[in-house]
Amino acid sequence: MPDEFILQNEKNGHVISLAGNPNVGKSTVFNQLTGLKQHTGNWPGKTVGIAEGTSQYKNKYYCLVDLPGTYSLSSNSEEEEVAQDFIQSDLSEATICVCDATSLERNLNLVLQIMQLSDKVVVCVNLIDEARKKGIEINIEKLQSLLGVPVIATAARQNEGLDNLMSALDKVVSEELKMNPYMKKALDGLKENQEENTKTLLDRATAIVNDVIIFTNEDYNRRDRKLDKILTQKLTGIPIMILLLVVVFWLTIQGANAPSNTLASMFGTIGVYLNQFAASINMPEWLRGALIDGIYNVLSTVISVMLPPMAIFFPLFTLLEDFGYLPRVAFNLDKYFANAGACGKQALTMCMGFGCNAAGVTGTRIINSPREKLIAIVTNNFVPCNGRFPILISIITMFFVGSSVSLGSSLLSAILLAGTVILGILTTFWISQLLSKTILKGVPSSFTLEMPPYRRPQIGSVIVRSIFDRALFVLWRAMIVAAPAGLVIWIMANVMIGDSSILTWVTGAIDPFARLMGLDGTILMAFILGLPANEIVIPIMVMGYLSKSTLFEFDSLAQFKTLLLDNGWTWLTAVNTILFTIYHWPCSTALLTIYKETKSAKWTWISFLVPTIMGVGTTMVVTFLAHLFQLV
Amino acid sequence: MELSKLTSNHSVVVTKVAHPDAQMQQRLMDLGFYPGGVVKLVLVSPKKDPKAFEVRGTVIAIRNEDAKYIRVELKEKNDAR
Repeated sequence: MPDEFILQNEKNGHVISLAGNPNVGKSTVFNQLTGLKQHTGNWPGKTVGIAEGTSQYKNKYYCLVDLPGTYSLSSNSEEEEVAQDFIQSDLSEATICVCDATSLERNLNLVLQIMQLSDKVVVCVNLIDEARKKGIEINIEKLQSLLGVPVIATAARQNEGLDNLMSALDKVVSEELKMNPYMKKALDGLKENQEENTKTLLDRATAIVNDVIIFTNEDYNRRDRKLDKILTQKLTGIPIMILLLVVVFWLTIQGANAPSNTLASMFGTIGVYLNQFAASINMPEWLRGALIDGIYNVLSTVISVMLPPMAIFFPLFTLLEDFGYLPRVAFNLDKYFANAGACGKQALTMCMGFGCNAAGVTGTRIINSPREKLIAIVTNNFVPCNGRFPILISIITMFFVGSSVSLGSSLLSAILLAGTVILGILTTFWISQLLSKTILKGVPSSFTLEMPPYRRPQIGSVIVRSIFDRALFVLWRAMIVAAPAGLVIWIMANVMIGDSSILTWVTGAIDPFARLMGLDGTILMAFILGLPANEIVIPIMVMGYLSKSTLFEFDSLAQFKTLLLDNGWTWLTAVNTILFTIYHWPCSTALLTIYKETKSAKWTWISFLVPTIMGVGTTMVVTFLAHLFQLV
Repeated sequence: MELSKLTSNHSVVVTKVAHPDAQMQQRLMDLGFYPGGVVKLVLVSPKKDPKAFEVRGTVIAIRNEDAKYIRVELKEKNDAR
């Protein structure tokens, strides 16, 4: 780690480090103070890398730096070194150490370690509301006198106590308040012997906590333990996971259907008006075609297909995440990852992949072992991201459930979709194991996983946050890609070389190969042009087919199915398209992220090739077998 | 007794931690798996590995492979906190 830290807002006031254990609401404190929106989730290690933001208090500016969450500063992991170096650097003028009031004993250890590094420390006892609920009473005054630095109780999510925090910070920075010199001396005296130091600090933390905390309810975490038993027990743990997966998909499919249709018909109507308008101003046909048949149609399909499922899936997923369910998933699945030679935390990055594979790849920073991190990166693409769910949902619904959407049929769709996702997860295990045995040889390394207390998610803010921060962000990204892609495909479909269009030439050229995979040239073409974003695969496919049969209005799933059947789709085509959806190259955003994370062209290529080879191979075998047994 | 062998959810006291990986050794100590620390088995995953322990007010899951380097002994019954 270089000694130099480069901050954007360095000049904008006093630089303050924000340190703390993972999952203590550090990012929430940071967001409340700076007005930024770092995503927070109820699992340890969400913040990877350093985030900064500015905050103002009494006409003074502060540049807050959100350090990665660490349990300690002594075990020399990458994030711990970053945190330690930054706190000690000349840049950082003071440190706010955020603690979880519900597990103060563990948190105080880090406080004491930080006090050994810097004498300008403010302790923020966060989640004080959670502690109150659990009957944990903390004598803040006493804690303050025992530690010898200012201690402020906060409930950052409710914006409680943050003013006091800034006021204390102000006093510490201006040296109005100083650390108890005797405490400082005692801490300095320990530095000689590391092992002795560790023990003494831990014992001291325990002694302090015993002095300042009263548990008015001895069984304060009994409910958590009971819930944990159910969610992780042999008989119920994994079935509940699968059940939750089905329920989330079911709600998504059922809920998205009506809005999707409404959006599609609305865009259809607007399209008619646009065409009338184009005719009224005598717009040249080529321009009208490019703008309306090309850009507008692809854009509107992306929105009507993508937005409703995302607006339902993201909030549901965030609810589970905020509740604290994901670490339990990691706990349940760890043995499978261990057998595959991988890290149990890969379950967390895999779950992030459901939202966006690029996010999943960035998330692999929580995995300490470089070998296991690479495994997690290369296999992340096997869980379908949000951009790929609509492809899976529409094909499953059309070909295996029947396009009339009732409660029962959407449940069946959800079960089949969950099955597809489980296949993706199993593939993650297989390929992880294969990698562990071949190019990423090694034995699983050690890791610790915190199982945080369950927290009641704040439903309102979850919905707002997940729709506005995530769904619309992802949709926007898809739209930026969809508009030019729509134009390209329209040009390809309308520019003639000889007697057929470029599109016909290209799809014709790749058609024989695609047929071996049980697909056709148009489908493969859609996946190739969909490299920038999987969201546009379906719209491109539709346009590709439409350009061959021009007299077609497309605004419902039933019509979509007719269009596909007209173009020779069978159940086998549908199966292969589903398989190829979960087994093909990562999108360009994910590839760029992989390159940024690994800084290696080799591993980026491997991440590209592994799922692609898997997809081409699997679909070819399936097609061969289907033909061999004359199933089609 | 090795921590990985623990089956009941009695509180136990750590007597020795000797993990071959220095970084993991330090991490375990920091989390509270240190001589004199009190640990309680609270959760066993569906495959019996990893197991989660309550230590210093937090639940931490570790694999048996790592827990076997932590030696513990049963705590006196009347001493339960």
